[in-house]
Amino acid sequence: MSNVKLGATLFCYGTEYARYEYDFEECVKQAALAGASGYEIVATQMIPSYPNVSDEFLGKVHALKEKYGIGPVSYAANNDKGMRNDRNLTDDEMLADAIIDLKAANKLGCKVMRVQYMMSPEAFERLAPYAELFDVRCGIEIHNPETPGSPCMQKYLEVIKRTGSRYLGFVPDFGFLAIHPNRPQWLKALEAGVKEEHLELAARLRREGVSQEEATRKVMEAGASPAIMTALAGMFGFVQFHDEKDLPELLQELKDILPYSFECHGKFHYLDEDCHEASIPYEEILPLLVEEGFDGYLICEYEDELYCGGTEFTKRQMILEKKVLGIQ
Amino acid sequence: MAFAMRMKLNPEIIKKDSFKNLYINGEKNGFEFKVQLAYYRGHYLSDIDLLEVYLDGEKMPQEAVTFEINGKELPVYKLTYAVTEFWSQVEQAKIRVIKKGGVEKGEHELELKLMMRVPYMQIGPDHNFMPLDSGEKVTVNVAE
Repeated sequence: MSNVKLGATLFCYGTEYARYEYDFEECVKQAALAGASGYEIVATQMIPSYPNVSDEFLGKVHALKEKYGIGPVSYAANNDKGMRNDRNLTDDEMLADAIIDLKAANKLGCKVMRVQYMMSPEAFERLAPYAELFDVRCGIEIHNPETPGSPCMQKYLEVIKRTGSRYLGFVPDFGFLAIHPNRPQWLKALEAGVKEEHLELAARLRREGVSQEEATRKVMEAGASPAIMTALAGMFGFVQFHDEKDLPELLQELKDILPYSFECHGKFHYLDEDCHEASIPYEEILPLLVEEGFDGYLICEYEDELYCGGTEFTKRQMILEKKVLGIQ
Repeated sequence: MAFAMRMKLNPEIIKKDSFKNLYINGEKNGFEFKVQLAYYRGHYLSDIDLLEVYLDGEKMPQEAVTFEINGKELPVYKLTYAVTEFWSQVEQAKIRVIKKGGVEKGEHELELKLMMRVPYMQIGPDHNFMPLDSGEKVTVNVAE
């Protein structure tokens, strides 16, 4: 029996929200309709009184929980190291801002807070006693192109192990397990007039591990349309993918940090009508959560590169997750 | 121009219908319009690196431009220091420009140059963050 709980981040509906098609209530309602038993809130996106939670907003959150049966389970913080125009925030300042986030998370009743790696391992370590007071577990997000084994993430792991604090951990985003090119970027490139053979060439060069500069030169030599550049930059950037043969190793990296993970982000970009994610192999990832006894929320997270809204894809992702996890 | 991120989730950044003359002592002496942040989340005003307004190609003097959010109207130079003033992504800011004689009836080209930093996306050593272009150039119509 799986202990995995299914949730959704309201970020899934970011496009509808930005277009005023959905207000906050409609986002909560849609997450409930998709099958979420709790939601994550991106504080800078949807808390009107950010960085504080007003009593008015809290009242609304409670009323919506009564109405739709779901409330916030996770608070996604932004750690805005570059918010001053003249210099980066210091560790002291980053810590002070993160404590304000802890207060907001605690007021909303969230037990988990997503932290970004803009917060240094040193500042993260100093967050532990505060996290304990507020009873909010803080997880550093592991987002593509980082993987759990990246040197940067290993520094956080060292802090987590050394302190032994049960309030410091990770929030892995399964985007790092992508093994196929990002589908929306591929479709947009085709629409912009790029030939599929050139996209395939770019993908092959990525799999072969050549540098972005070399890949760029080779696809241009092959006569690709300059419109390929966005897709190519994606393949080497935030939506990069690995060769399929590297998957067992990447899954092992996930397994290694899973005991320290408070929540997982089930990232998705494109699911067809059969509810199959085009680039991230959920059929191979999710059984690992069950085998390892992961006891937390798997939060659906749609990243809308097609600007088509997340309502339908979120439903499909939830169907996929339930199917693979054997829920219902 | 160097690379800058664009994220127009809402296709209309400058709300064209909000464009109108601004009156001082009963006379047309400027214009105002509303703008939405072109990103998925809100930002502190201190993330704004550049804000300039052009009407029919003419740059408006910086001292004549103000930016209002959360009920506070600020001159442009103060945005840099507004580290506690948060611009929510669904709240529209109002931009006011003092211009003697206001704007004539008919079509005009309005451009807002608005460059920001994405403050959690460090793209290089030191103080180097992803630039975000939240500006727009549109044709607006003044009815009277």
